[in-house]
Amino acid sequence: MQKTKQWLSGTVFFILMIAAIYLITQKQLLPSPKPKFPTALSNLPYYAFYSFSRMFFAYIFALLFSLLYGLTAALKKGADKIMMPILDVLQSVPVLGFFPAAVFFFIGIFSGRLGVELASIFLIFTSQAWNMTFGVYEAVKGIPKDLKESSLIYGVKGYQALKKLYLPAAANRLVYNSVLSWAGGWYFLVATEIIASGSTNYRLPGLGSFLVITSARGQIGLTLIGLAVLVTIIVAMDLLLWRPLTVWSEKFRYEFTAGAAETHHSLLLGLFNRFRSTQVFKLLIKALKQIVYLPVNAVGVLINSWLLYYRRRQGVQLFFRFIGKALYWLILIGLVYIFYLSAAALAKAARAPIPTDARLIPLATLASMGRLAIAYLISLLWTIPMAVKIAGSRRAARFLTPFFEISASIPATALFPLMIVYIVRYTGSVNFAAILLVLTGMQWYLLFNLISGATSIPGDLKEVAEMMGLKGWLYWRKLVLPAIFPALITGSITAWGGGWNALIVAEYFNFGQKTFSVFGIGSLLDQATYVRSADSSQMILFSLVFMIAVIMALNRFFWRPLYNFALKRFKLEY
Amino acid sequence: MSLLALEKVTKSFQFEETQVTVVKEVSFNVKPGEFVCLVGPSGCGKSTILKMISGLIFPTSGRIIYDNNEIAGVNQRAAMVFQSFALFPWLTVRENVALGLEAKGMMRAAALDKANQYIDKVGLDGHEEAYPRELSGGMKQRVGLARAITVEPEVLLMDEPFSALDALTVLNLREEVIDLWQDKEIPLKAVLMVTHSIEEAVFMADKIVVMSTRPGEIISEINVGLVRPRNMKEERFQNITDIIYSLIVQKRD
Repeated sequence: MQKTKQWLSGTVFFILMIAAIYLITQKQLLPSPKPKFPTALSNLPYYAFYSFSRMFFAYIFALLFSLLYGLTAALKKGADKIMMPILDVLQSVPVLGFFPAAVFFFIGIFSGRLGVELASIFLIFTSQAWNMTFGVYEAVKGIPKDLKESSLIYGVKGYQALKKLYLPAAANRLVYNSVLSWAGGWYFLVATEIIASGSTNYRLPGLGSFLVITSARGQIGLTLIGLAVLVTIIVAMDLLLWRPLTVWSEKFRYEFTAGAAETHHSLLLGLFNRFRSTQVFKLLIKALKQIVYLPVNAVGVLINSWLLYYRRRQGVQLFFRFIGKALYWLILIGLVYIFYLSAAALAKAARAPIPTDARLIPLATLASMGRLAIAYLISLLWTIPMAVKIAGSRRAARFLTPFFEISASIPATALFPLMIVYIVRYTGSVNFAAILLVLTGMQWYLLFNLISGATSIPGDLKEVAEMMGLKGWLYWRKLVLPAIFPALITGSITAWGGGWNALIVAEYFNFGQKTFSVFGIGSLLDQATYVRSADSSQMILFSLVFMIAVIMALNRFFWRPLYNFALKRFKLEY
Repeated sequence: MSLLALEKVTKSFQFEETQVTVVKEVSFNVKPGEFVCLVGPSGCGKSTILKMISGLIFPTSGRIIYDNNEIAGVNQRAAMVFQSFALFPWLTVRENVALGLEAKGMMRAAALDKANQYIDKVGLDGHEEAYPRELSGGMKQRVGLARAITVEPEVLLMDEPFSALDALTVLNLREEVIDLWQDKEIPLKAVLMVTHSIEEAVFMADKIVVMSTRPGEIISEINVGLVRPRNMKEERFQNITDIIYSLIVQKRD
């Protein structure tokens, strides 16, 4: 019963989403002259500013969303049965595929530049929000029962409970997932800018488009400077904001759940540790706290006193109850209406003749999956030995970890223009370039998951193995491989998720006059977006639906069972 | 003639900027046929000593002589029982016990066969195919014991083997370890056990090496000399216990 309900809410949502895409993409874009894009060095600060602003706004929205959605799902009785499957669908969808649809939607509402900007921000938001929301939800759900009971006994409720119990409980996970989301956000920011620069109608000025256009024009020097600026921003943000925040949020962890998150501060560890004890750092932490606390506190106190004052007045209470009821019905009616619209749209789509290219979709998906599989195997081949090496030797870890963390912090999409230029020039194979691009979108998830898996092999198991003289293949088969298996599966799931996204940018790369493309679901989708024809919107719809269905089927019937098996059989706890 | 001898063994570790001496000039020996207990408060480097004897780590200064040779690598004639059991969670009881034999190059079938024999010895017959997570703490440590004696070591090293178990289980297991020790079929020459329970040491050991903490130094060596099976209520048992208690307390003040 419970299960079917969850299935149902996921499926209904899925259908709604498809219908919405269809409705949106039916609008025609008005052609407008392609904007100029000056690549003088003096413009670079503006581009950096634009890119950063997009990231910033998207993150703020993601933060608000994750708190609202996560807290509601965790605290409202029964809400998670409906809300979490929806989030699950959202999370397993390759965000980049929706960029065309998002552009249509936002340009439809706000024409011109603002529309494209909002589409980009929306896309970055979707790449950040789900992961953070899961973090909040799981953290609040995971509050130990006796802690919750004790706050009940002491009468901690409302805003007080939010401030003293739920927010602190969520802080650690929220910060940790924010770091991941922020890093992922760069990837999508650059991707949207790249995609936008391939279009004839609009453009997103920013670091990503700067990279594409300079490398398309052969100004490799400028491309490298652009990359350097991007990396500088990323590293600076990391050192000045995320590291201090992570350290600060560690204090919100319960003692008894320690262990899993020990590897947090390893990037530039030495440098950071020195930095940590300085006065500047302490001041920074203090300032951050004030920035966060002051407005939150002010609003909270206001609401609290206001509530205290009005709670005693019957009229006001009745009024709010009425508002609540009205809202509830409004949402319900809205949902029914959307459902009706969706059903109508789908019916119309079903009646329309199926575009001739649509029969290519299954084969294209298969081709794309092949690319993903090859990239995945290559990633496995180098990440498993590397992770075990890093986990096994402190010296290797000291040299290699910062190197990998910096490499991984460069959004892979930012390297795409350069890679395309050189790989296609020297190998002549766009297919090879596409696989390599997908690889860069997959490998880090595997590497970092595997490192954390391999470092968590208990020391005494390694000692036993050493005392027994367990060596070579036997050592790998009996100790290393089983021990890292759960991490391998988690890493694989995220790597494939990243891979599907990378496909959209990797299979169809527009370079000013030249277009590099290979046959695949990503390029079908891109083609339908760029080369508008009568059945473009149907092609977008069919491609997206088919791809999402394949991804969801893979997740449910392959990765999920494998993950459950890994947890049951290979979990390290005794 | 001693099987194992420590000569002025010192071990220091580097913790960030400071050098910490965990074990300082420790000397004692273990003769064939001896059950020796290392007793001391936590943090006195008992476990470090066991790791040095097993050849997992090496002394900063001093020597460890095993059967006339200085230990220079993993000691193949010793086996270890861990406080945390250190069982491979993805292997069955039988596979866990047989692993040491497989590592020594024995064929899998033969190894599993021999494992069965020792699983019976520790009273776990019927649980061969269970996974460690399905067992109680006491049963897990029996697997740990079986795994150690299956490779037929000369010296059995035990690192607080009962600390993670509840009191009643411990009473039983202590006696079972003594039974295994006295079992003529097992070619064990000596046992070296680390514990922080003085009663446990007096109950089990022929000789007790008493240590102080920070740095770990030897305060005294005591020969127990009580006949087995021992009775904790007995007066002589209590006397020895009291002596060790006062030794440790005196040193601390």
